[in-house]
Amino acid sequence: MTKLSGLQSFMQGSGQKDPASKKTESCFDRRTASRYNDCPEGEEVLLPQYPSRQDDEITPEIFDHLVDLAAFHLEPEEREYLRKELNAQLKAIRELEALDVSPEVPITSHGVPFKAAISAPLREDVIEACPEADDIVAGAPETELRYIVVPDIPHEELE
Amino acid sequence: MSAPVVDLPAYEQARRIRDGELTAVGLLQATLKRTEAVEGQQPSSRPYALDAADLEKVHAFINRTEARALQRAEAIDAALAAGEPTGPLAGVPLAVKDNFCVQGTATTAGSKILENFISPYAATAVERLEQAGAVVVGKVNLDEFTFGSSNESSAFLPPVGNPWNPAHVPGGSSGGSTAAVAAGEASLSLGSDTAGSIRQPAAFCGVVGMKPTYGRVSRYGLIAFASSLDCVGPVARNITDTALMMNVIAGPDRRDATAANLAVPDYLAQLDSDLEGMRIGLSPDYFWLKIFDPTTGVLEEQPISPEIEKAVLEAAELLAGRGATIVEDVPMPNTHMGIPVYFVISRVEAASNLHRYDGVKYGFRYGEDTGDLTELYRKSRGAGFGLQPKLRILMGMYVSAEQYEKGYYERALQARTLIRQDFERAFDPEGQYGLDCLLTATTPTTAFKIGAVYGDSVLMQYADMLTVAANHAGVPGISIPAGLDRGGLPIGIQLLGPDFSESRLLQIGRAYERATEDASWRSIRPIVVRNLP
Repeated sequence: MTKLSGLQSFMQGSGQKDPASKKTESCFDRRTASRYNDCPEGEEVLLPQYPSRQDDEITPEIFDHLVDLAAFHLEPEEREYLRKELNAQLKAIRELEALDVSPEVPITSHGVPFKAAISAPLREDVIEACPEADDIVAGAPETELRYIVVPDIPHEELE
Repeated sequence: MSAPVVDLPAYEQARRIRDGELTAVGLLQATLKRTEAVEGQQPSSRPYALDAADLEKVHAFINRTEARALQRAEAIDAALAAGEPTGPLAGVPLAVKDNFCVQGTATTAGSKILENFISPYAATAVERLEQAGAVVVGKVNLDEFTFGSSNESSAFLPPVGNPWNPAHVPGGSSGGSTAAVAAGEASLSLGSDTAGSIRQPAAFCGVVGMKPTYGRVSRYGLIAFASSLDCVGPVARNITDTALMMNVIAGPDRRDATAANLAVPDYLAQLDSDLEGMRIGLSPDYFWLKIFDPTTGVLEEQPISPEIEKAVLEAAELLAGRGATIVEDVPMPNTHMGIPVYFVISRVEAASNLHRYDGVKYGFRYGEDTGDLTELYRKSRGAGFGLQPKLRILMGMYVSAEQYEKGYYERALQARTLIRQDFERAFDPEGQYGLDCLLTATTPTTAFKIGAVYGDSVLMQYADMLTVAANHAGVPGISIPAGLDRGGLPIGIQLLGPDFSESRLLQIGRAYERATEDASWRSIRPIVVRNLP
């Protein structure tokens, strides 16, 4: 199964073409979290073809930087899966590079234009009491006297 | 044999309750009994290994709110007995996708990071449905934070099974909604659609699902994924129920500045009008898919499933028979850009929206000694988010980084303009095509097997290739059941129309429904309910 002969894979999954065998199914979870156990051990599983390491745009170094910015603690098997999938997605995004688009083409940030005629008018700037304040505070993982408790905040002493 | 009361249309259930032929409590009890019969093991966030028995059940609900539902149903019966006004949906069982806040209930978004979050307020759409008399029977499963097209990425497993064959996925992300409605565990459901998340599972489960125009329905109380794409919409078993639900949920909302300040028509008013003068388009770009091969840089063409293509063409003939003009060969040349553009825009917006989950103010906090606050963030987000949210956040951060932003994000927003222009050209009343709507397949295939695609994030994303363009353009779309394939799995057809043309789409959908009311496939029930009374 090649990665982007996608329709064929869906069809195998939907039973529209006779799936050759379970060998063509991607058993991601056996490789990582083992959440499903319907891929018997020992059966050959043909996994999607991932880009080779030298083609990777997101190198381990860039990946570490992103993980740091995103504030994630990751397990080793998660790191491997996530970086591979990121690079696979970047390959799909490369289609945009082939797009012949002149600088004059404007950007669209919302499909339906926010014209004044259909935009909500601004509300009066008045204070409204929040009746659910206690419920909101009660949702915090740890509180003390209606303050939310957190561990030490990293800081530096300024001289 | 008459249909079980739980499988009746919502409008008929509501009529019987109004007329005293049925009570809200009676309908609720019948619905809960159906749920018991089809549901199976309750999904949970515990480590999960697939059991073969799970492939025979639906397990759509993360949380059932039976006590709350019983109170509501009793209140409706009491109000009716006292001659007090109730509402157009009085007593109708409603399942709410678990990314909508329902006051006082757990709202998880399918994620461990929100497992213990009790919503202190209600989403506007939920509030309006409850005011109209709908009875919320529970919160239904979804892909984690809606990130998926199969429901398998939820932190709450077993995954939802398709009522037509539970070894297959229900689609996603509103797969819990569409499975529950198809199996008679609810008569209506509230879903959300960012790339096809209402329409694709509606097609897979043989129900109706509508993505309204961007801004038509308030998103207050919907857990945000991609704010420029997210839409709230109905899931129902027929067009009339969909229109009824739209009448209740659509309209401006002072708590959502993106809700359009535009009057809501009566979506039931035009339902049975004929189609004389309507122009319905067929586009080759929705029959032949162009999929980018990154190794060659070439767009490979692949046809959609022949059975689905046939269903679309037959629908066109039937609509022509009802007075519509069919316009062929309408070019929608930028349709194939939908998925790569979505890979960029949705990830950037998801990364932004998901930064708020930090283990501090609400939701999951990593329990053991976490050192300082930075470690608390890392460990809470690391243990609380599943793989798909992590993947989306990381990709969003990469493509919006300063050095890549122009090449990826800006370019994607320009491509989005081109996608929007395709629709404007097709729907321009003065233009060459002058269409009232496009008629397409909703999905390239019917429901795939559980485990067949999950894990391959690129392949999974391409499940939305026929639905995502409408989200980029903001235009409304609806998926309508259109038969079964050789394997007995539902086929969906899609109507896409200009901004705020929901009435017309519902009217055309209803015409198709009337034209097929005697079709043999309409008498076939989902496998999970086939042997039930």
